[in-house]
Amino acid sequence: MTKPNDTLKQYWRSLNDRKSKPKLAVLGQGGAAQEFPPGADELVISSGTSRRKFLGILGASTALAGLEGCGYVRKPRENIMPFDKRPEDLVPGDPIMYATALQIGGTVLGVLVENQDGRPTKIEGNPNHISSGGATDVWAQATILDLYDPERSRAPRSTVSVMSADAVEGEDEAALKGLLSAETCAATYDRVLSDTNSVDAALKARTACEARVQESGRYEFTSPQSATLWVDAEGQIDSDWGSAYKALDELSKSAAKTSGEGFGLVVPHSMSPTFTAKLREFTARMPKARTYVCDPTTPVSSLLTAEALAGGGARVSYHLSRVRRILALDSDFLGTETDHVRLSREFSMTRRLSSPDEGGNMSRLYAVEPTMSITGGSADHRLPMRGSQVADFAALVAVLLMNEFKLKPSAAAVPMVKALKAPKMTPEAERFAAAVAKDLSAAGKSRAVVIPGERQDPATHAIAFLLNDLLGSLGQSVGTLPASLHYTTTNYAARTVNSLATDLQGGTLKHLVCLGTNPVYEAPGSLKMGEALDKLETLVHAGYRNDETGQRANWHIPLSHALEAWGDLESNEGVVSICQPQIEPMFDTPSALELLARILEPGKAANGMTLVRGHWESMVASTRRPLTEKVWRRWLHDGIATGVPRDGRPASRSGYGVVAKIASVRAAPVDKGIEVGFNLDYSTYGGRFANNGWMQELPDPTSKLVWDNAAIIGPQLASSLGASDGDMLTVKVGDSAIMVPCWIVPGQARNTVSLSLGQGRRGIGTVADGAGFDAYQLIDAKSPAFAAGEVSLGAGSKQLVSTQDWGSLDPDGPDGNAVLGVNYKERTIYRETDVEGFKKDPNFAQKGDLMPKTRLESLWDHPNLESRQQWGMSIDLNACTGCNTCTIACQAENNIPVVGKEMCANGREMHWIRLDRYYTGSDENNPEVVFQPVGCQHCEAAPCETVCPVAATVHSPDGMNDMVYNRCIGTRYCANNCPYKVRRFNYFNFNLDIDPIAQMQKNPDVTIRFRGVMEKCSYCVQRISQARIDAHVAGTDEIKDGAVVTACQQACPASAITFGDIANPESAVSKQKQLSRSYTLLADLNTLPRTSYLGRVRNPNPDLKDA
Amino acid sequence: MPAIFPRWTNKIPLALGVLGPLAGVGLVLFVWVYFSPSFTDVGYRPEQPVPFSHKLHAGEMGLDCRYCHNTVERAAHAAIPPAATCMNCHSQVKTDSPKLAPVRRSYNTGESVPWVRVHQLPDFAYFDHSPHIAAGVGCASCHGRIDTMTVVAMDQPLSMGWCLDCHRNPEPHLRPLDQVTNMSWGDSETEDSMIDALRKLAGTSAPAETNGEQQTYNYREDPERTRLPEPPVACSGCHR
Repeated sequence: MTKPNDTLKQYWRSLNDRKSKPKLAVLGQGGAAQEFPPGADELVISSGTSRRKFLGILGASTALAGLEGCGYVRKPRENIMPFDKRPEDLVPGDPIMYATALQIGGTVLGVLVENQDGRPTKIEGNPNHISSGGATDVWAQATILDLYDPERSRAPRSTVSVMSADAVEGEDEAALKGLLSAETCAATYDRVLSDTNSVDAALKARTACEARVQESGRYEFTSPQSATLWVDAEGQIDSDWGSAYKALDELSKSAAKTSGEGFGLVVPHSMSPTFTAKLREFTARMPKARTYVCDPTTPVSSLLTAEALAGGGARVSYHLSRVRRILALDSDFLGTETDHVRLSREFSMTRRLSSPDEGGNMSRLYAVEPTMSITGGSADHRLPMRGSQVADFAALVAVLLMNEFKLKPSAAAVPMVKALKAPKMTPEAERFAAAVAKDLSAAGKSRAVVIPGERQDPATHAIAFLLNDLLGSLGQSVGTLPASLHYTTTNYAARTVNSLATDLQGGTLKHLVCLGTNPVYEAPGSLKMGEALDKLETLVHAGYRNDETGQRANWHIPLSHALEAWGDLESNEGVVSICQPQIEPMFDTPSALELLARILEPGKAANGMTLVRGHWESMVASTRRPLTEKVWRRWLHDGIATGVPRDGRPASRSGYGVVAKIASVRAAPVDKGIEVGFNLDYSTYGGRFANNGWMQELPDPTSKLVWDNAAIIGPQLASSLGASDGDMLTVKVGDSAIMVPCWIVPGQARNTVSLSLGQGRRGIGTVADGAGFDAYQLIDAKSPAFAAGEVSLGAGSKQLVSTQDWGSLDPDGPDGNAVLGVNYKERTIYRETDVEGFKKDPNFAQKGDLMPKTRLESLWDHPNLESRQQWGMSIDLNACTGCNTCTIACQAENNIPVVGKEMCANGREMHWIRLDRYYTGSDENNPEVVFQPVGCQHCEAAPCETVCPVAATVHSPDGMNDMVYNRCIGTRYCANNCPYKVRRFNYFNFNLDIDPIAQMQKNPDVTIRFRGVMEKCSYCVQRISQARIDAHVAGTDEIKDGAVVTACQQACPASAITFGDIANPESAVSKQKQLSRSYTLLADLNTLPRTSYLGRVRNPNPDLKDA
Repeated sequence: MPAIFPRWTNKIPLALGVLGPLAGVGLVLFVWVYFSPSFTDVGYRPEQPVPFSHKLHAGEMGLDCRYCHNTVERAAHAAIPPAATCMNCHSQVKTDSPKLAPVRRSYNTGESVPWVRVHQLPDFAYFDHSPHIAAGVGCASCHGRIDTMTVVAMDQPLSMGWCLDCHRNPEPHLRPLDQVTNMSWGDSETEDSMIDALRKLAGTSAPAETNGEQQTYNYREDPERTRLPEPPVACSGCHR
């Protein structure tokens, strides 16, 4: 028997997992409880009947009832509705991809949208666009579900007394109102009477109704015939487009008359050149009007420093493909921050190893951060540190680089040096800084990069500029795109949400239009934005949802979804894309751009395409190539606008003096007490995706929480507070306090609490209701990212659901317990080593099986795998960052239902790909994190197949474990027998009552599953079948390597997944599987999985090895 | 003591022993025949909104199938033609025919002609026309002699067993690639005796006429073919 390799570590999934020493005893207790979801064993129902017996009785009676119900019904009659004139190149039933672009925070992703008979169903990356490179992220994937949200805003609403188009203008309004109110309230009376059977209650309701109508004068006249009408208790009622546009036009006209005196506009951080140009036009037309940016996803600090350095519109971008050393200063550049998709791709490229000799070329990542991010998880060395001390750490590294390692800043950067002082830090941090400085300086010119995080204040970014300057990376691996090359300017400093609050309090603003923004929810709580906005005379809100601001507004105008609107976006790297609508606006909504154009020209309905095309026509007019129809079509087709003119002025880096000034104004670090930090939520991304079921049910990458966010605290703070998972904490910052359930996450910096932004939204939809809590309330505008706070244990607790508590592949735990006389040692599910260990033992990944391969014998006949092509997958754990994109891409592709928090609590989540997260290392306060995507392994000798009584899961000749939904009778034997715990059961009819709008998202190539049916990863069999058909029609027998791309593989930003024909030794997947790092999960069970993993190789710094 | 049961009752066990199995076999046969798509689906002939005659267009006038169903070679669906295709001719001929009113209305207003689907597979079966055409399976093999049908009816059961019969042994149903849309190419499918027998049992008439031109065709020796048909027989071949 092979002894576990020295480099194999012990892994644990949570702190509870680590503490308990589970025993494999009765099913449902001890270790087995971790393998099976709750309720998998015999459950005694209150009356004393066991669950199985109850089901037996139920089954027998149902069978008898079924005999009676036997009847013959013909298939339903179906119509085929052909086109009147079919558009050219449109083949009914065939998907078409159209290029467009999406903005996610400060990132622009070029995407291709799959259209099925006119409805967009899936988003893929545009391979030609630099920022996506063919991949996407979770939010781009989830955008498609947002488009089909049945709860999106559909019609304008207003608090202003409006006559509908049906009513005759100029008639006796008072009489009409009197008549209507009497009828409304009579209807209210009838309804309450029939509901409650209480005359008193009904009378009371009628009186209240009459009072309300009298007082507000709000009424609506929906149809002259029925005269059904109602008065909204909140004071806002449905209106119509004509009235809404009329009101907006009047407002714009009066604003134009006074050059915008008292008029304000709140816009999001837009990377659209046309929108920016319109904003400039707005400022020129109405010089006295103010514009503000309210958008928590804006990369504020990097914009401010870049623009200070190189003028308005300048951007910083990082390029990692040649880089050998990276220092992430509280930066989640692989997860939530600017250009995360491109950076994931470039970073993973520097981590690929085909042989031990390449270890020297591998990059090394250092992360310094307060809370565990996926970047921290990917880091070779991670130092938990208070977020507000990161600037000190950066300064320390800079001083070390200059003093110890004699690196010289460029002449321009010299003023910045004066602003630096070597701060005093903890010995641990100083040791870390010394090792980092030594390693960075040794990397060579422009081979090391420092990436500051967006939560960090501009000072940290300014110091990072100096650091990159010292390392020779500025202008090389760190691109500073000058203002002259950018179309979108920000001038962010003058237009923050803080100045909006000041202007509102000062009363200088009278009328405000929130164009796709939601300041009530997204502004820091200390600004009390809700109350401040109530002081306005007119508040107009335009948004995709009738959100917190919309509900307070005098007018709410629904906006189009990004996939319904014309637009353009310019990426950080300077690539311009034209965004084309994938579908007509479903509810006749305008886009933000069209609405802005209407404000500029009241009364004139703007057309998005005319605006965008007109803008670019005028832009390219100066060049020799005018914007012909052909060029325009080429732009739309490619998703990239080529040949756009740029200002030829050279890059200016004159602003070092200003940057130096920024570097010297640093917020004082929170040295003592508790530091409360805020970060964007991995699921809802600041709140945008709060009403998106996919995102709510997507486990957080590190805490694995679903449908909630929590106060993340470390084990050290938890033990000093006496708190355990789910206990309510009172978190206090300044004067505001909130009650939050806590979740203990190893790796959190000592005495810090991290709260994610974007949950706890109420009243915007049924999905968001009840999920999480709102951390924006707690933010102090003066220190929005990190603040000194207090935390104490509150009363009670809340159920938080983490998906990592069952589905264990190693149920008897790390210690191993004797079961039936056999001592099961730890099963090494995740296999890793470091560069040195890989050199010593290239076959490290093969070590750790409980049984040597030679001793494995099968009880079963091996399935007949006779096809020429055999499918298999390889997942590179060295590249995987744990970002969850595969899970969501799979959900979008395979029509996987959303099941809700309660179901997840019972272990019934439906994701076909589970991203396992393990901790390793002895220090609970600073462990290492590893991620491992696990879907169906498509075992050749599949344990599920041997136990299915109805052959519903069988092997295909090309090596796939097929799931035949129609045969499945729901015994769930297969799921119980699956050692990988990847089978998912439809306990309820999750797909029965889907709103017709939400149905439009479903992929027609994948069967919608019914209740009582098992499902699991199919290796995207629909894509394999299509490739086989395409190859056959094209006249070949063989599907070419690369013709089948699974949904997870396509979406993965790190290209960690390879799929293809393993029978062909030249295919990409075969080459991956031939690497010495390749291993299969639980190989000792002799299941012969078709999915294999490439073991991870870390690249630690020898100086920090025994930290 | 008088006998409670008369003497003839002695024969009941014998009768049961003989009739019981017979009844059982009868029931099985009944379900076999009358519950199968060969009985329930073959001959399904819904009334269409426009009395379009395939017999006239495809038979007498000899229009190729692909003039109207033009996506059949490259897509899953052999798309029902848009009204514009009809109007290619009917803007010149029979311009006032009242029977064509729905087509003209569709062409002018953009609303679809609500054709009734005749060949309907369940949603979990993913049939694709293009590989079948590419493999040289004739239209008539599954749809029958459409060129003789005034109103289109189902000719074959389109059941899973029927699909698998051909997928397991495609040879008798293959023809030269240029004969795919030829309705009268002598096919050997009339030999499919079981279907014929069932059709007779069900009382539906067999619309297929053989023109006596039985041709022998060996697809393995056809130089036009660049690959051999390998129809999938595993579940995931048709179910996704």
